[in-house]
Amino acid sequence: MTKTNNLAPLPPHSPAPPLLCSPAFLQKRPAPARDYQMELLDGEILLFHPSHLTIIHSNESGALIWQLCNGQRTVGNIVTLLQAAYPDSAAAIESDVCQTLELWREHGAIEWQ
Amino acid sequence: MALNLLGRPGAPLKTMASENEIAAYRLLVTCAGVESGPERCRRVTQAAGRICDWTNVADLAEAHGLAPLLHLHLQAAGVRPPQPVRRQLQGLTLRHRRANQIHVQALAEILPAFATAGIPALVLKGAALAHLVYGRPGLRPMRDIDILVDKVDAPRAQACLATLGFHAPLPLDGRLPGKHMAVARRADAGLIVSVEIHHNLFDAGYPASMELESAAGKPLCFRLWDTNFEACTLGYEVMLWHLCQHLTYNASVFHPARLIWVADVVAFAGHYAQAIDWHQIERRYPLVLNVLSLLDAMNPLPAELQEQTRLKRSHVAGIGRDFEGWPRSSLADQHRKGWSRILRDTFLPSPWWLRLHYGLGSRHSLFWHRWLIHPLHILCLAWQVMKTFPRSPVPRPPSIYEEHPR
Repeated sequence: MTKTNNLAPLPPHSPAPPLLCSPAFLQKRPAPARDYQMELLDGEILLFHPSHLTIIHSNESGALIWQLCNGQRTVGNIVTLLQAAYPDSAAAIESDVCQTLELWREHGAIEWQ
Repeated sequence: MALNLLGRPGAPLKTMASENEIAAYRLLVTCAGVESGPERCRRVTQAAGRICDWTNVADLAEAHGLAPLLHLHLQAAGVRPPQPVRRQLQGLTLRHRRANQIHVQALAEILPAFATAGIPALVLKGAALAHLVYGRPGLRPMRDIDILVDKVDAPRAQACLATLGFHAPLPLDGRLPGKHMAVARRADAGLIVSVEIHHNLFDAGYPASMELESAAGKPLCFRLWDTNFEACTLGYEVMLWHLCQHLTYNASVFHPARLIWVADVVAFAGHYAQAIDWHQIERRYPLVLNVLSLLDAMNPLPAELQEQTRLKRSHVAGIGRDFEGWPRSSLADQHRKGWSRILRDTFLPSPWWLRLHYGLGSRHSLFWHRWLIHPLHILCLAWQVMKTFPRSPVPRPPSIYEEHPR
């Protein structure tokens, strides 16, 4: 049986959770957990492990964050890069990134280096 | 997951599957094939329209090995199930696609190693069919990799797997077990890859037997995905015969038949309808035509295949109605049905199931199988239980659902 977990796109102006985006969180270095993969299917982006039951649905922003998680960049670096690329959404990016990473960590899809 | 699909009007409903389960099973039957032509789209749309509750449809599809095909055909027909179901099917499709890639990568390591060691080998079942008839990685879920080698090479092949990092136990007494060596396993990219080295297509004691020498007459070769390595499998006629044997053997009193095996037979026969020597099939492998006639009654075969086989369509009663008696379910589990119903389900199963299990065509008389052969089969099983009572239950073969847990 496969359980599907739906990560709905984050609301555009949600307030940043103070604990997630703490200075300590921004210093963490996320990396994809072993054997997790992100793939596009039917125009949707899915994050999965070949033998785990959970499938994480993501969106384009999630795909960008995933690509930037290499174990070298800090969460802060990722936020800065995305804010530079999308200045119009800069205000929401930090909380989006932190919430997304925290959810992925809860599902075991990323690890802190 | 046994489903009672065709209850007679007015028959008691206490063991019947719900209308919704019947509708879901019928949808899966229409999806048990590869090509997505307008006719299949029409039938899929029609069958999907009868489903009121989609909650368990993806789980049922997965149990039958059809989740990727269901996803494919629903999309082709433009049917959008509720989002959680669609996402579940997407997830299953992706997982099978990735798992198949991992299996094929392992195969691309194993076959060259066998070639170097001078071990001729044929790839069997899922791994070969996925390449030959399903076309894209992931449409045909694979539980494991089955490879046929010569009897004398089987221990060497198993040792070869051990050198590739598989846990590949050899028999302690040096004797060859059943039809294949102990399952060899290795963890690859997050998945446990299981490999079975067969020295015969069938179990010892099974009425049919075929070793590499006779199976490799005219092998069918294909290139492994994303590699330059060419693998070979059974020739057209032997492959089709093996798939039909596999289907009838597994549609047993113990376990239900999975629809992916139906899809395998229909897809292979349809894909190679022109290349298959149907005269040879008629002469040497009549079981194939019997099975195809049953599958045609279940879901019309492609026109080209019907033309080649010259099968005459006939009505078969109880299509899709699985065996529901003892020993599939224990007597304790069935006691609420009442003894008369238990006896009827056990000794008088649906004509469709009887024909499938005993490999009879849609036009054969059922007289002997209904009144003598099947009751004797049940009585033999009961005698085996009584002989060992109270120590053991029915000598149940391994379930295809349980033998290779992931």
